[in-house]
Amino acid sequence: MSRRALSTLYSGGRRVLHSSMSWRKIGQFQSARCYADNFDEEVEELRVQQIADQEIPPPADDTVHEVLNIKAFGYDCTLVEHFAQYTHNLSKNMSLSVFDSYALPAKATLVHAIQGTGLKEKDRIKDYTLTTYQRVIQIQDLPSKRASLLLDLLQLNLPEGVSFTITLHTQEHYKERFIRKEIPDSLL
Amino acid sequence: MAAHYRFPYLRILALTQSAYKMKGSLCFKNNLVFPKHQICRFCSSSDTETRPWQLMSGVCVERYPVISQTHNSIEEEFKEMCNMVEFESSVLSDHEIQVRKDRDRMKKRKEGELEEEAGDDGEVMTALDLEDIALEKLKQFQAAPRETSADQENDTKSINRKLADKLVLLVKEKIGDKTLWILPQGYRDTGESMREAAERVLNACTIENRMKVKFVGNAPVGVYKYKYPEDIQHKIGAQGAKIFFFKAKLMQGDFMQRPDVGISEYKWVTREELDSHLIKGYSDTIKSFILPVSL
Repeated sequence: MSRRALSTLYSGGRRVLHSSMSWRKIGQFQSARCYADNFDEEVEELRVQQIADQEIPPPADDTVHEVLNIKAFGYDCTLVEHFAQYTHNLSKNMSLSVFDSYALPAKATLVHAIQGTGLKEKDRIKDYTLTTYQRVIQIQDLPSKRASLLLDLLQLNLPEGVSFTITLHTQEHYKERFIRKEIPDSLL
Repeated sequence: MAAHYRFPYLRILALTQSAYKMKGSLCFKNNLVFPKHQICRFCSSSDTETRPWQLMSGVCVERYPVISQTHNSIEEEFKEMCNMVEFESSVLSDHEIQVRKDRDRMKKRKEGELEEEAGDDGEVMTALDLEDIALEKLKQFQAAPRETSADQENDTKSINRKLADKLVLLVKEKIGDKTLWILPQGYRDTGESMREAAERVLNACTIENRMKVKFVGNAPVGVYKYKYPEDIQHKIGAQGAKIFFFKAKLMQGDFMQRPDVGISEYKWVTREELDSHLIKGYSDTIKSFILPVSL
């Protein structure tokens, strides 16, 4: 084995470059075993179930966009769902390929007003929960010539109480759909 | 060699091939006579056919509708029917269940069946009380009027007019010897892409940071060809201008015209009012890419 190879072995995979390296000097430096920098993070990652990356198809050529996420959200579930159905049908009629369409879990927001304790029960502002519903339609290979038309139609036909955003699809978008599952220590 | 071919380019091809066959020198000129009309097909000798077109970028700034359109009678009836169907086939909400429970409890307490619970001093809020309070608050809420003051005065420069419709920015500019209403436009500088030219044109028209606009896409949405009259063609050296339009959405702010630019006036108009301001061909081109709010 070459001296260089042995030095990497002793340094636990990380090569420390010094101008004059001798056999004994290496032994002196690397007496304690040294792991990678992100050892703790890697151990933490093992505790949670790892999800494989999604295969996001790249755009077909230069004139089309990548996979786009149209997320419709609002407080009224019927409106949001109907708008999501509308975008799906619109994309089909414009002969765009819909990659996937799914719902994200509803987010409940608690609205709590901080008030003094002196108020009577009748005069207090009550807490209430607002649930935000979300639907996502993913469009693949949207030609850039039709992009402005699609955006225009979606904006003009937005019902009151519904908003939508268009973003590029990333691995984070894919992974946030999954519930974080802890692996118990006995199995690790 | 100088055979009569139907297509002149084939003749050239044959001639050049034959020329290359000769040893070394490409002296095919001596053997050939090119009649003038055949040269014109493939050499740029004529003036009027090959003058370039100047490129311009136009910007269509749109203020999208702020409120939804008013329903007509059929839509109203259908909406009522849908709401009724939705209501009838829906499940009881938490609030309604609570109201029913409270009602039963009140009834039992009156009939003396339910014992008084400790700490029950009659000040407990029932769900019905909550509902009454909420309804009272709703009565105090005043929605903003659908027809603003700009509507009543018919102020075409205002951005608050016709909240249910799309408004498009038109400017009055001097073109040649006429002043016309057009979309803001400008020539493309060398080295710019068409979209960069459009952004520059818009920034040149307005005072900085007054109007926040978002351009939609890199592809132009429409094109208008304008051929110059003969004397201007000779003067400028171009056959005409091709105007490529880009769409932009008004995010916030208002148009504030710069005093030094050649714009004498500006207006925000709806799609229906475009015809009365623009010349016919231009108006048709523009209408093709401005989508109406209600079809």
